[in-house]
Amino acid sequence: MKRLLLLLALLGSACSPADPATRARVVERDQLRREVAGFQALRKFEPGTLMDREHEVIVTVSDTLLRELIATSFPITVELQNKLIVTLTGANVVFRANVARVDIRGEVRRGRFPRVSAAVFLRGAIDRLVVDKTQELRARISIDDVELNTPAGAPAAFDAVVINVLQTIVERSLPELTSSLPSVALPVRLDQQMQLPGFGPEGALSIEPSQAPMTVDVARVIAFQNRLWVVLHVALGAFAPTQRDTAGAAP
Amino acid sequence: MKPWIRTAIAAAVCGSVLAFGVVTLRFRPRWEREDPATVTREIALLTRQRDSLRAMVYDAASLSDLLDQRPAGDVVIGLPTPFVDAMVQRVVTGWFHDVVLRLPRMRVRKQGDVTARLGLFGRRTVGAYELAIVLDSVRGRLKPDAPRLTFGGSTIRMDVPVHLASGTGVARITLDWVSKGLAGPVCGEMSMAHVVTGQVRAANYLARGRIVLSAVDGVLKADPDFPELRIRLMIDPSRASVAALDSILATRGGLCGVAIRRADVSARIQGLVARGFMVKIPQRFFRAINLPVAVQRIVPMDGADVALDVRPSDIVVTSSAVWLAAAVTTTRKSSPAP
Repeated sequence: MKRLLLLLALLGSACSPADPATRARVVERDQLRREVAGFQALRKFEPGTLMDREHEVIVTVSDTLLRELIATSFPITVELQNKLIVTLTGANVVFRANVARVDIRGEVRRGRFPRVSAAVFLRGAIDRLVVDKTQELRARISIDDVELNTPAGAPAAFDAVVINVLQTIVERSLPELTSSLPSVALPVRLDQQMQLPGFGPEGALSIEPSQAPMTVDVARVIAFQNRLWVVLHVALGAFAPTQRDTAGAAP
Repeated sequence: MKPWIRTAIAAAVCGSVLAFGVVTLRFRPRWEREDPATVTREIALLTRQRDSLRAMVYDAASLSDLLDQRPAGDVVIGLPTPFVDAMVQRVVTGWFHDVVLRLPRMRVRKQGDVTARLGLFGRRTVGAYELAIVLDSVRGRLKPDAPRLTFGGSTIRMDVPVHLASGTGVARITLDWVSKGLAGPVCGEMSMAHVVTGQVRAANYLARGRIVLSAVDGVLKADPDFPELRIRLMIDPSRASVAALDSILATRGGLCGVAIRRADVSARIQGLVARGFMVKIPQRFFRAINLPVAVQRIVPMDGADVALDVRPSDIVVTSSAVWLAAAVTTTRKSSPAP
């Protein structure tokens, strides 16, 4: 029954091809919403109050490096329902209006006909930065929109109706596609604790070693001037004595 | 064809067309479910909002003194000076909060002749003394106060007020006395030993130095550079100990007692102790610490490690932030270690 409904829907979509202009306006609206939301998050900050300077540090990463890091994850192959295989081959990162936009390109083909493919473009953004369990700073990519085209050089590969059907299938698989995208680890190490070594006894002095737990969270993310600015909130706990190390070396 | 068959076929066709229409409407693409006019109006409104907010936010960010003089690099880490200040204060008060100061065995000596007026004989040398004080077990506690940090000129200067909290000390006193002149045949030679307990006198000191920042393997290291701190440890002998010492000396009578009293041995001992004992706090006492954010040389991506070529640039210290920048490029991708 579910398959029948899907088939009817696909046929319906195929029989009434979308107006590209309508579609483009909705995509533009969605991107604007994201940009305004990004700016709204920063609106409360007066000049010079971008961060809590006693408890926060800032890490910035250039769009060039981010693009290189994302590129290392490709190609990615995802098998969707209906035996559609999406191969994502590369991505571009552009920072605009406080949004780190990510455009991903690739191709989609049916498993039974591996030689026939359509070009696929995913438009999205880096919208979640988290400090994971291993204290790495990771960025997740969310996809807003997908667009399928007949690949250049193969004009007869798919006609418009087939492209529309595929478009609908891929769109319905956006959550699956999004979850298959890599989380990008930024090359920044965040310590989980601060260790202070012991000293001596040497001469007149002896100091017991101690350590304090440290919690690091992402406070806010700003994308401007071709950089991703990540403000991290650092909370240092109380120091407690630890087992003395034999060498007494610095951490 | 019978009428009911025609009706059934018509009903089936209409039903199919209706179902097809309903399903098509229900599952139509997202953009077809929206009213184009509403979307166009929303775009115009959002564009105005975005442009207005962009100017405001970028002005705010650009005017921030925090971002002044930040270095260029693919990865730049900025630690605001209040953050570094708070971190160093936490380290100093957390780590050095209660430092045991245990004096090594120390020895001070004093010797000299003692003269006394002996009636008709006038002023004569009555003896010579040799006084030795050995400090065996002196313990004090160092407690630092909040350090004061000054940022700028690529360095961080740091003054740490150090409070020497009171402690206890035990001194072993030995006195060798050799009588001379008229007292010689009577008193001869005399040796005595006595243990004196005392209190370490509380005092304040100021350790002045600087924090040298360096980037080692992408880690920002803060290495305190302090000259040797010299502390004069003062010990106040307890009244009971002084009284006990005086009572031992008072057992000597006659000419011998006169000579000892003239020597004022008790006062000399207290004078020696009152000069204090110079203690050197080694420079290594202040240890290097790693600041909590660093640039990594390997990043784990999904299923593989990506090696990075990290070239740190100079560390920049401004009045508002400490900056570490690095040029970073990806070099190779490899499978993660098992």
